This record gives sequence, structure tokens and C-alpha cells, in this order.
Amino acid sequence: MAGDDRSVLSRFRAGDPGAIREIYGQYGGAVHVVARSIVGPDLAGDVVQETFIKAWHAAATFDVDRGLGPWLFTIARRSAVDALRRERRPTTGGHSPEVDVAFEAMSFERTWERFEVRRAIDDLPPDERDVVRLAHLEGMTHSEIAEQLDIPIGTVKSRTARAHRRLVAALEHTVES
Amino acid sequence: MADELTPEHPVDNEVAIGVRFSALLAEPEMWTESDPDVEASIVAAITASVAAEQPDLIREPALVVVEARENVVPISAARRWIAPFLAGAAAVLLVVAAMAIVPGDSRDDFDVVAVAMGGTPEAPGASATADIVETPLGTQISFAVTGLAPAPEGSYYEAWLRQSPEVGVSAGTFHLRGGDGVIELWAGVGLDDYPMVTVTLQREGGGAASSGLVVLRGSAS
Repeated sequence: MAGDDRSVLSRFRAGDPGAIREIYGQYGGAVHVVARSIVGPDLAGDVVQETFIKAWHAAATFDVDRGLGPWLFTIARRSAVDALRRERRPTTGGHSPEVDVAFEAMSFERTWERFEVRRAIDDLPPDERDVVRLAHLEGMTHSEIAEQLDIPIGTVKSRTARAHRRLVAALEHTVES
Repeated sequence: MADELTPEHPVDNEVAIGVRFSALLAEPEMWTESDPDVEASIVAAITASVAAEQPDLIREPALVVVEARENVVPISAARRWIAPFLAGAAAVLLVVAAMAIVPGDSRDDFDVVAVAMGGTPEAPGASATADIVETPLGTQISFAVTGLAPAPEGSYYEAWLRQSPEVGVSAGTFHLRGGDGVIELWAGVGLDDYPMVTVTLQREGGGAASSGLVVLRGSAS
């Protein structure tokens, strides 16, 4: 994993559009969840863009042993908090000192949890992702999912079980901590 | 949902995970697809930064050919001030937002496509020529704009390469408050897949999506 990270990061640092898209494809959704959790939907896109550009500027200092995920999460959260602070700072035309207003961003732990859940969802195979989405987001029963996807109910159950095992494995470390 | 997360002989940890994350799995934002416009903006911004650090990789095209329908007119080094005139002429000939494009000369390493853009009813007196160069680092776009009013305070112009009215990628922003001129922008996608060029008026703080308020429009197809 670290080797993969090193390779893609090396290309990312060189500005290789393929590497940028690869990293965005893997982490863009999770970074967006962090951004949206802190700044809301209107500014989230700007924060996501700022996160990846900051990451590119800082790529030379990246510690591969930490993993790309935690590194991008840290940059994303900091960018979102800064954006929120800027957004809530009163603007007075530049004639009066700017004053920070008090605000409370979602905690580090909660945003990290959300980042990891989104990463775990994004890592699911598409067929398993579909059944989990329909069950949890749409609130469908196994029978309804089977009808919706036009597959046997047994397939729905086995995909659900496999998906949940993957989610548990991917998220176990967050509970252990 | 916790029981569904632990379908087979759950151990304590699995139950804890199920309880803890069921609510998150039900949140729409956990399932929202990544925005391709944001991805394209990131690619464009980074490739532009790389190009700025390595300017020798991007060469200024020496010759551009503009085709207005059947007429092919070579543009000399003075194209900076001639281009708007040609753009205006093309706009008149085609009446609306017409465009003409043209594969460029290959004396340079990169082909240049010149796209004439016409003003929409939002900016009827405006016109522009977009010289578009596909480089190994991204797509460089040089806009020579005339007749477009400076963006009012609190707003700015944004250029887009589009596949369709619904699917587009930002190529960057500008405001023109210092007057007309040539604006250099970059995009992370090319004309092959995104042949339409538009400029919109955006509101600061209005988000990353297009406002839909198109002031200039052209097409390479």
C-alpha cells in the first residue's frame, strides 16, 4: 500500500493529470464529506479543490508511512475550518480590524469517522455497494431490493452479508481506538 | 440496522460497529457522487501550476489559422489585436454565437484551435477569440475579449469547456476590471470531449457550479 501511495504520489507531485484523477477518485468523496460536514454544501466544493491543491503543494513533505488517507483528511479538515472561519469573519470594507467570531466545528473524531465510513463505502464492489445503499439510504427490505435490482433474494442476502463483513473489517480500527 | 450489519454470529466489536455507523450509512452525503467539475478544476489548477514552474514546456504558438465557415485566414504575429476583429466579423456573419474553428498550423509542437465566440443576449456587444492549445500538461486557452463589460464587484467571469449544456468543466476565472485584453486560462480537459466554450457571470460565494448566466458562447464542432 505504501508502495502504491509512493508511486501515485510521485506522479501526483509531478502534476500528472492521471495521478490527480486517481487520488481524487479514491479520496474525493471522503474529502467532500469532511468539507460538507464542516462548511456545509455551498462551500464544500471550494474546500475540496483547496484541499487537493494544498496537498499537491505539500506532496514533497508527505510521509508515506502515514498513508494518503489520514494525510488528506488532515489537510481537508484544516482547509474546511479555515474556510468556515473566513466565512464567519465579519467583513467591514477593510477599514476596521477583522475580528474572529466564535464557532464550533464538528470534532476531529467525528469528522474522521465520517471520512472513514465514506472511504469504506467507496471501497465496496459496485454490486455490494448497491444493496447497502438501498438498505440503509432508501430503507428497503431484502425483498424490495431483490425486486428493485431484479435479482434473487438469496443474492441480496449474500451480497449484504459480504458487504457488511467488508464494512466491519474496514471500520474496526475506528472502534478499537 | 445494527443486526443487518452483523448477520453471522456477531462478536461485540461488530455489534459496536453496526450501532455506531448505521446512522452514517443512512446519510445522503455518504452516497453522493464526486463532482466531476471539481475534479477538472483541481486538475486544471495543478497542471497550470506545473506549467508556470516549467514555462519551457509551453510554447506560444507562432501562427494561428482561423476559419470562418469556408474561409481560412492566417493570422500573423499581430493576432492579438486582429483576433477580436475577426471574431466580431464571424459573429455578424453567423448572427448568433457562431463559431468557427480550425485546426491550427503545425509549425509549432502543439496545434492551435481558434474559436470565435459571440455575445449572448446577456452581453450582445461582446465577442472573443479563444486560442486553444492542447499541451501535455493540460489545455491552454487564450481569450482575446472585446466589448464585454467588467464584472461588477462581487462577481466574476468563469470560462467553461462543455460537452453539453449540462456537463462542463471550469477553465478558470477573470474579471476584466483593468480593461480588455488577453486572458490566459487552463483546463484539465480537451476539445475532443468538450468542444463547446462558454463564459458565465458568477457571483462570489455562489458555489462552484455554473450560474447558467452565459455571456459568451462558441463551439469547436
